This record gives sequence, structure tokens and C-alpha cells, in this order.
Amino acid sequence: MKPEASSALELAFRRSSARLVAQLYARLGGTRLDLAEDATQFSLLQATRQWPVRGVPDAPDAWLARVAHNRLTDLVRGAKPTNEGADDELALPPVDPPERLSQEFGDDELRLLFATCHPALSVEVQVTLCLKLACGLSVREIARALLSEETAIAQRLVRARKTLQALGGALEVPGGAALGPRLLAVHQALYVLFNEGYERTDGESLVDVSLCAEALRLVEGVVSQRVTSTPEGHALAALFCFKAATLDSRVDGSGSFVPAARRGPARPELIARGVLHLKHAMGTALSRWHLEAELALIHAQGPSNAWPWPRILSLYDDLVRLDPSPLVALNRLVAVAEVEGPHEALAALERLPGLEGLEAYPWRHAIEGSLHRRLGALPAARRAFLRAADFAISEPQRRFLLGEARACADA
Amino acid sequence: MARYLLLLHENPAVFADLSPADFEAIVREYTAWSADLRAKGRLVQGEKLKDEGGRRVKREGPRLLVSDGPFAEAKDVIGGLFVVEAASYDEAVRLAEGCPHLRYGEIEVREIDET
Repeated sequence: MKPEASSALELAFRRSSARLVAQLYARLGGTRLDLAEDATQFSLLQATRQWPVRGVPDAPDAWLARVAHNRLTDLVRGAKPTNEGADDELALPPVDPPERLSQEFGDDELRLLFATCHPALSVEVQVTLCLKLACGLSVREIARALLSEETAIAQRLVRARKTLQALGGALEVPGGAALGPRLLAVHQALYVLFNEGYERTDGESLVDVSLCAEALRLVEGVVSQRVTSTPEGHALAALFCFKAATLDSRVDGSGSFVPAARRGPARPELIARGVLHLKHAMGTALSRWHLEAELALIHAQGPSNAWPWPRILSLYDDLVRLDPSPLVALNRLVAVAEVEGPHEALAALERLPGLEGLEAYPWRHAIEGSLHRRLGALPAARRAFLRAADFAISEPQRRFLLGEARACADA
Repeated sequence: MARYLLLLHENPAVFADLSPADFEAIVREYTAWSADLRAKGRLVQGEKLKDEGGRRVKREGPRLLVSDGPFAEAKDVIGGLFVVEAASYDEAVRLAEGCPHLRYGEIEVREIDET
């Protein structure tokens, strides 16, 4: 395949999918999310089956938009009213499919982000639906990211769509204070989206820069609108910038994982962009995004032996109070090991509440392995790294963990 | 060199639950395969058939019977076709072997009779 066709594809599918759903949903006047989704899925399917044989069109996203809009028109013509006698006859304004899907953050996308985070759903379900529809993640990716099963996520999505369907009418997106609770889920979903790109849960590559870029684009879209701009949103945007600044240095030329101690310098333009967001993040109570942004900024600066570990530990202490999840508590132990020593960290690991839930999380074993290693217990360290490799979620990660295990055996 | 017809049989339901990332992967694989064949001068033609509206025509006595598609509910549909050039059936099968379609359906290989 020609390289230009390949990069056109990158743009076309995942990003176009979320944008198309948003656009079609807006065209339907904020009703029938299911039809917007069906028409989008149809156009992706048509592309999948036609492009390989006929070749990728010059403007893939415009092709997808045209097919999806036409399909929506057909679907609406064929759609039966949901309630007999009610004035819910679907009126579909005619629209010329765009020449290109806009790269700018549009009202349609904002509306879809907030529509999927509907308070009739629990926050967990809002996040799931938002990831699927507005962020374009697959069920498999969502399941991995939320430490859940694919079937559970699929069922959750089915129930969520039914709940929204039963509400009928347009899913109005409120303004002002009513928007607050939805912001929480929108921020969480974007956080998951970014992390999915930062640490791929699928396949050959360790990072997917396009997912991180998409998360950053969406959060900057959210904070660029007066009604949805909050200090928390800016803190989240800062967090993304600081983490994105180190994306390149997490992977070496051969696609292998580079641990923090050996990473190259962060990208200064992204650090500067994050600092700008931090300025707008001042003035309210500290959110977990503020704490994580500061941690990410520290991580982006210099090698890990120069990091201010006591400050890191105190940030984690605050973070654990805001988010008492086992995952945060686990990451805190890395700082405990540096400040109080590996022995204390290992003892704390054994007492960690909810530890059994992290069994399939590779870093839980990798952290244990590195603590054993620092205490000189190499066989135990090796076992832990091997166990971590068993649960590795990408090839580069597995290679790295096996390398760590091997190093313990050789020493 | 003879020409061979590769008929792409598929079950339409297979594609129903795929995500954008899955779709992208399929197109990428497929396009790589067909571009490779084209570069080697082996790909003569490739066509995708429309999903809806197939017709079946037969004569029963004096009457012409035309039955309608779509075959949306059918488990086995011909979704597309390739025409390739190969020296033998074995080679044609080898060309088909690398086709990503095999993950989603079967390929029927038939030699075009040019004698």
C-alpha cells in the first residue's frame, strides 16, 4: 500500500467514527442516538468491504460521511415512530455531507460528549458509553481500560442505549450548574482515552499517539467553550500535555519500552502548553487531575534519580484520599520505596486493600519484582517479573518484563 | 498463465460487531494484500458486489421466475471477487492463501476456461 493511503486511513476510521456519530446525532436534532450509530457503523462496514477491492478513495472521510448521511436518510424513512400517535415523526433536515470532516472541535462533538454522560445513567455507565460513542474505543479496549470483561461492557452498552431510548425525545444538554455532574464523567472518559494511547492494551505497539492526540484535542475543545470550561478541565489538559511530552521517549527505536530512569528529554513545546493550562487551573479545590498533572510534570523532568521523591509521595497521599482505588495505592508504593525504603513498600503491598483485584494487572507484579530485587531477593524478583510478563498487555511490555526477569536470573 | 476467479464467500453477520479500529485493521491488511498482487502483475480485477438487491432468475415451464434478494439473512453470500493470474491451480490457491478474507469467510477458486 502507498504510504499516503495508509496515513489517510489512520485519519479515516477511529476519528471519523466519533465525529460522524456526533454529526448525524446533531442532524437528528439530538434524538435517536441508535440511528446515528447504525448509520456510522454501516458506512465503516461499506468502506471495509469496498476499499480493499476498489482502492482507498482520495478523501476517505468525505466518502464515509456521504455513505453515512445517505444511510441515515434511508433509516429515517424506514424508521417506525416509537410511540403511536405522538408527534415523534422524525424530521430530518437535508444536509450536504461535508467535503471533509472538520479537524476543529465542533459543537456536534461537544454535544455528543455530554449527551452520552446522561445523569439517568450511573457515572460508570456514562464513561463507558462516552468512550464507545464519542471517543471511538472498541469494547475490548474499554474492557481492558476499566479492568472489566468484554461481555460485561457489551451488556452495559446495550442497557445504556435502552435507558436513553426509553427517555425518548431529544437528549438536551443542559447549561450552567446542571452540566457539572456530566463534566465529571466526560473528564473521566477522556482520561481513559488518553491512557489507552499512552499505554496500549492491545497488540504490537506500546503507545498510540493518535489516541493521546485525540484526547488532548477533545479536552482542549471542552475547556475552549465558555459553558464547559472549568479549572478541573484545564488541569486535565495540563496532565495530558505533560504526559504527551514524554510519549516519544517511552519507546526506543526498536519499539521497546524504556523505563523512566533511562528516558530522554521531554518535548518542551508540550510542557509549555501544559503550563499554560495550569495557569487556568488555579483558584479552586484541588482535583485529582491537579495532583496527577503535577506528578506528570515531575516525571517529565529529568531522569528518575533526580526526582523529588518526598514531594511525589505527598502528592500520592493526597491522591489516595481523592481516589481510594487499589491502582492509585499501588502506584504510591513506588514513591514509598524511594522515601521509606523497599522493605516498607513491600510490607505495604502485602496489606494493600483490594490487591487481589489487581492480580491480572502486570505492573502490580512488576512493582513487587523491583522491590524484591532491591532487597536482593533475586529468585522472588524473577518470579514476580515472570508473572508480570504473563499478564503483559502488549508485545513490547512483555519483552521488557521478560528482560527484567532474565536480568534477575543472570545476576 | 491462466486466469482464476476468486469468489469471496462470507457471512454478513461476521462484520456486524466490529469496532472502527477493527475495520481499519481489516482494510489495512486487505489493501496490503491486493497492492502486493497488483505490484507483481497478478491482480487482473477486483470488484465488491452490492449487499442489497440481488436477483435470481429461473425459468419454470413457460414462466420466468425472478426472486428477490436481499440476502441479508443468508449465512453465505458472495461479497466480492478477484481475478488473478497464476500458472496453476496450486499457485492460484497460494495467492488466495494470503488473502485476509479467509479470516471472515471462504474463497472459492475457479479457473476461467480459455481453451
